[in-house]
Amino acid sequence: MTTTGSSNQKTSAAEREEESLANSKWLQQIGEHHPIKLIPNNPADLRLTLDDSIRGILLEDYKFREDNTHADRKLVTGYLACFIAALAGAYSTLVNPDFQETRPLMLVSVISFFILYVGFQWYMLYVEQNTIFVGEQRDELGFEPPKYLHISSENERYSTSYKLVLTFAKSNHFSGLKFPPTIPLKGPLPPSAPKDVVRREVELDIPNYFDAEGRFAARSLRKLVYSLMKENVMHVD
Amino acid sequence: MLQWIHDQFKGWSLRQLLLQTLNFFMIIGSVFMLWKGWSLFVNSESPIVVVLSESMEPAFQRGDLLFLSMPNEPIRVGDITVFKIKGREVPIVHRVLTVHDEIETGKQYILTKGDNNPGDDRVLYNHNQMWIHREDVIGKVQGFLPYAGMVTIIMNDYPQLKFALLGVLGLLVVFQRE
Repeated sequence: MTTTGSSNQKTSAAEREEESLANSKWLQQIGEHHPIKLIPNNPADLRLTLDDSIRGILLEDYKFREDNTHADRKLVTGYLACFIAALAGAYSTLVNPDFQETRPLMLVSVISFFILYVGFQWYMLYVEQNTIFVGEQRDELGFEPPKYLHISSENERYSTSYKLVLTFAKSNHFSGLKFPPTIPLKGPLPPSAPKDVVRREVELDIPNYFDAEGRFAARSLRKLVYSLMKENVMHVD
Repeated sequence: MLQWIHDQFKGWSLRQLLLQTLNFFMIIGSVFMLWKGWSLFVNSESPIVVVLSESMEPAFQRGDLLFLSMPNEPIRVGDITVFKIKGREVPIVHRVLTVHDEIETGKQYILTKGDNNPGDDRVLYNHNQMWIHREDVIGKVQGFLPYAGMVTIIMNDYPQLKFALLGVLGLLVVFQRE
């Protein structure tokens, strides 16, 4: 008697995971060309490597497109402020070195610089907060609606544990300019959050991903990302 | 060397590079604007000067840092002023010896002398110049910090240090991604 069974599920969960890892372009790149080796004593460096690696996995393997709104806004504000400072400096050195005559112009530049500077800092502290990644995954064939993902991190200064908060949504709640943000970036989702939003938190122990010589365990991180992405985004592999 | 530089920036996108250099420029920009803001607040083109000569000893030594301001009130005998002689770049810090106020215009005719100098500053003024005026004065000394300005004197004597310091600071800021 032939048992039909469910031929769609002939691969077990473990095998699916293995398949995903084998197909991972990111892992292939890391393994072959860029074995990452860092100074293990620099915690900021390690955290940043984890952040960058997660971003790499999302962009390469899961075909996310990164939303650069935060970075772009900071770049515009920051460089505008620096441009004002440079202009003021150039003017007072080259065009008119007289102090009394240029007072009103200098006053305007100083005030506008500090408004931009304070705005920049405020943006980083209250709007961007701990965001590591904001991105969008579109179905190339157009069958499924796009999925949005926001990742922020929390880490106490001398602690080896590193918490990641992943928020999945079906519409882009993440790069607006609203203050306070539509969805709080920390803690559990409030009941007022839209129903399509899902939040997952995971706590990493940083030493699990680096050995004593600073070599990076890329495969372990890839497995972690796989487990986080399983139900919530489209699989590309 | 080039390979080391390339390795440092491997995997950096253009945005990340721009953000890191922005850090550097923001620091420089805010220091510069704080300086400008301070000079606007005290109404003096140079709110801090460093004493370069011994002409005001024992009050001020070479290397002392002076804090200046230029209030709206008239300059009085006994004020320690920092002034620039027309056509010369280096400001001088000396005490006011004599002041004459022209009644109709309010214009002030000021004579200065360094405490430690044998004679007044007419030997320093331009040819045929007997007085300086309020426009020549950058500010009055309101306070000072002994020896705090020695760094500037050293950096002036060895200008390579200035560039070296700026270069090191710049590299630190661009590479530290904290």
